[in-house]
Amino acid sequence: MGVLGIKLFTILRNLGEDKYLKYLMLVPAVSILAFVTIYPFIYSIYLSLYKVTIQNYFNPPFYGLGNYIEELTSLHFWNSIKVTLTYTALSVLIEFIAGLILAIIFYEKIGELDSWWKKILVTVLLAPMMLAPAIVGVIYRMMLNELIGIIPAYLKSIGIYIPLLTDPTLALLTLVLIDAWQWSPFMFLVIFSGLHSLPSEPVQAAMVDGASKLQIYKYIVLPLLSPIIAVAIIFRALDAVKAFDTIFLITAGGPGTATETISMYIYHRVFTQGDFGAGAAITIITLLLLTLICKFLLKFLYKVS
Amino acid sequence: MRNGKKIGDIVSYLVLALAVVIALFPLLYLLSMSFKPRGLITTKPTLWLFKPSLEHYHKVIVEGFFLKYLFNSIIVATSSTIITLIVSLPAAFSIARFRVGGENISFWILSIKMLPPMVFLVPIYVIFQHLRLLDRLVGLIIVYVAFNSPLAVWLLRSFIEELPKEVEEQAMVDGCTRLSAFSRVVIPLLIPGILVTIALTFISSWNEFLMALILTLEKARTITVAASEYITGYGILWGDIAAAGVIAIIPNIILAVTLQRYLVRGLTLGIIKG
Amino acid sequence: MLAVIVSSLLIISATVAKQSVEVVIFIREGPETDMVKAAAEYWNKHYAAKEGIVVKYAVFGRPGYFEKITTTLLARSPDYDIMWVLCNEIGRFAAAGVLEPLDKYVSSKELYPYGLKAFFPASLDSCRYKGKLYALPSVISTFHLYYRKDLINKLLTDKAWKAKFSEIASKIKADLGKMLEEVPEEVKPGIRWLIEHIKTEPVSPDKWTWSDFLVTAAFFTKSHNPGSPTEYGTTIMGKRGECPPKEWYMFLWSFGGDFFKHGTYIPTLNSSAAKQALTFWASLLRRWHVVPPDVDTYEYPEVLEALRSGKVAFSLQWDAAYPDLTSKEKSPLVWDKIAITYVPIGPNGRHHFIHTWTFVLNAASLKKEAAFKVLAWLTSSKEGGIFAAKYCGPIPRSDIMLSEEILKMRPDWKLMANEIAKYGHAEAVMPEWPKIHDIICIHLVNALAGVEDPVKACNAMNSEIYALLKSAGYYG
Repeated sequence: MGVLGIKLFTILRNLGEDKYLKYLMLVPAVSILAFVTIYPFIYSIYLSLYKVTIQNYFNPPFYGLGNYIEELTSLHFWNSIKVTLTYTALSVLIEFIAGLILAIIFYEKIGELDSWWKKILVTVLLAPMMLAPAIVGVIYRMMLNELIGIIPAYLKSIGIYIPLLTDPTLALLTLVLIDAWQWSPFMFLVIFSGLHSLPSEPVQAAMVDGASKLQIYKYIVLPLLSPIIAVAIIFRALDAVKAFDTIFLITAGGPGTATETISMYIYHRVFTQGDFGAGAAITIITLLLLTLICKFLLKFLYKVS
Repeated sequence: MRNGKKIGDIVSYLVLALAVVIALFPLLYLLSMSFKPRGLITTKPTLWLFKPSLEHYHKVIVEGFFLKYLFNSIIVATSSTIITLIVSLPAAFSIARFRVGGENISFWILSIKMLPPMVFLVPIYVIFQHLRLLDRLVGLIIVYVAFNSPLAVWLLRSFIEELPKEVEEQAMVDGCTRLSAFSRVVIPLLIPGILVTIALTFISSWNEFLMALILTLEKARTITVAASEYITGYGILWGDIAAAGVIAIIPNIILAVTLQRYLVRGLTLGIIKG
Repeated sequence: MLAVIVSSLLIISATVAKQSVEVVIFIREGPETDMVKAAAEYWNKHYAAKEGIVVKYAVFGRPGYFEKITTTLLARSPDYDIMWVLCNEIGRFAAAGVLEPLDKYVSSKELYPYGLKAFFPASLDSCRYKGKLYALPSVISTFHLYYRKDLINKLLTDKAWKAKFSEIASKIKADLGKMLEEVPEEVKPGIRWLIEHIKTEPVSPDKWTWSDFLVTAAFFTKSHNPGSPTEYGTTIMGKRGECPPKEWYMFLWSFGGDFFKHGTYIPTLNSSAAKQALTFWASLLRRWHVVPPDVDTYEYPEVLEALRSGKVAFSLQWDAAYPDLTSKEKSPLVWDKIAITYVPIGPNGRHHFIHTWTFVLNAASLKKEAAFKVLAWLTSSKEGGIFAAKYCGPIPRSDIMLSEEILKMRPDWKLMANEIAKYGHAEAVMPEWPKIHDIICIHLVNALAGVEDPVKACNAMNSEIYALLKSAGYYG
């Protein structure tokens, strides 16, 4: 008994030492992450092998790869992949261009953030990305409502009577533009900061050589910035794939399934139709697809920079 | 040459002005709708100047349970931020100084950021059901800590790496253990970084919608979900939604304005160091 | 010492005596909440002390309501005792074992003095699964054809309007003729029927066929008739969720279609009748534009708003909208101009969709007997009937809905009783129904959006339902 006590005491006292400490410090973070991510992930795999619906929720039959086969042969599933990729590609593209233009203009015309009005200007421009995407969804749903919304009112006053959320293509485009409204400031911020952190020699040298502003930007600045831009694009693309809040609140996947992204599709499958097993299978398939795309993207961007 | 530059200037300032208008317009619209009397909302959509009415705020705060949901959001965001910090600081220190796990841990942490939360929500929903954690604030807090930690660890690691090792080593020479060196020397130096992390984590928890939607019913409802619930059997109460929306974004605005400097640094640090 | 014992005993008995049980109702925002709110207040005032039961309620918004019910029941949460559930959902929740069977409670004269006989059979059947009773009907719903009697009266009498009506009738007839050339063989009989029934004179709505419905809708649509007092003739419900299929089934049945081949579970939604019905319904938007262009976002609240704001001249809409539309303070523009009648007639007559909202008893409830008492009172007592009548819809019991007192409160229910008795038609009762409903809904909404053509949509929905039922073991 006494021996155990002494052993425990020595261990506790030694815990302060490096070789135990470094692992101990990780324990809280890792355990929460494991509980909330690894364990659910494994559970997902388990769920996906069973036909779990509401009616047999407490006693689901084994289904093997049935869920996977059903999903991979389902047009709805592939539609959601298509919608997600289109949404992501268009949003990121628009955000990159808008952010680039704003950052360059800001850098050239405003320069350093030394005065109070410049700081306010930046804060205002960054405001959209500070808001909860859900609230952004609520705001735009109000603005786009045919009966009371201000956007259709303005459009009608100049003779345009197309409801933006009823045509399948327009609806997706509208959602892309809303995403761009919210996240272009992010691109702007990254590029703007990047411009500040650039080394000045190459630019000076080019100016001495007589290059025009446009040439400097095109051949020197952008290539130097490309690693930062690449990371920003990946961050934004990963976030765009996850997009749910605004889509759920504005179109809920409609009209038809024109704006049903992967997240929306999973929501409908699991929470509306009650197919938990299928939902789990979809998440595993999505995970595999995303990992593949990510690896591919990283290799591609690595080559480019 | 001179004229070209002037035109360039004018165009640039025009673009900036346009950007400001585009950025602010929806917010101003939200504000205006929240004060617009119900009758005017349906009949005059483009009217901006009118006699403001407090009916929607009254409905939302006094008749609705909005204060309860606001309270829920505050508790969840604050608790999850504090716990995230407690959990992430040591982890970040360990990764930065001891190189434990190194790249593997970083990649794992990044991969969590990569996946749509839906991927985890389906099994978490089922697990929480069995554990009776659904519709409990505790459940939400746990989930938020887990999903905010990756970014927090990432950020804090960058900040710690910026600190010169000499300061700690000096403290240890003076007789501190590694642990007390950490708490007495490193943490005070990290305050800017900690503030950035707090700001970003709080905003991320406050803004969160999907997990709150699925993992809560009514008792643990947060305001982002509550704001969207004003879609009733009588038609959508636009004024009330607007009032709820305004209340919901107040912390965001406050944080954005006061911690603007830190936020800018934090957001860019993640990218540039990454 | 004695004093301590005595006082503690007194305290204990006091707390025990004071304890009353709390029964919580899970309810959806809308007229149903008004009903529950008023009923709860009444109960708490008059019965709480006697029965020792206090009634509370928790309100949940329309979007995502079904998902919340699922979450609560599957989580076996004891926080809610009675829940407002649509009859469609009873099958799958009963199969999961999360609903308390009510047979033993209703057979007790003490707990349930009201008797089951007075319930309309269709409603009560939709509360059963595999012979056991899992819910009691609360409110039965159907659609009415709501119309602006001031506008229709003018149409029936004014010479200029009648002339314009003839002109539009000929235009539509011509367009239908063109349509006849374009549609596939299967759909032609439906179009031919519509052509045959076009009249050049306006007719009173209670005699309408779908042709009259169409022509009158065109008359009241500004793009067809610039002199129209309303922007659009009518609306349909196109928002993915509860409503589009339930509205469409009335078209389906009146064109002669049905869900399954009689006596089997083999789906027949790819029948020509179904295709005709879907073509007609979708063409209201896509071809003739007699409904607002954003009907893909419409369900109950939006149709209500369209009628209330005078945007449309008539529409199919749930019966629950009647008190709202005839209330001076809620609908100041139209309250005294709204009338209701039967749904229009198709090749196979007229059919009224009916479904029943019910109250179920949560199997995880910790106060089942108390909860049942409240459930019984809400659904079967005279008082419960009055609250339902005042705020929501009729309780499907002949001793309530057809009682003099109630009919005096709601004279519109005379029509409704006829609609249910003569033309009522309900969905099938099976656990897979919600999934079937969603499959049908997706394709209806796709057809409305122009993403799928109606024939393909019907074929697709039919094969998906067949596959679903096959994998669920229905075909042996």
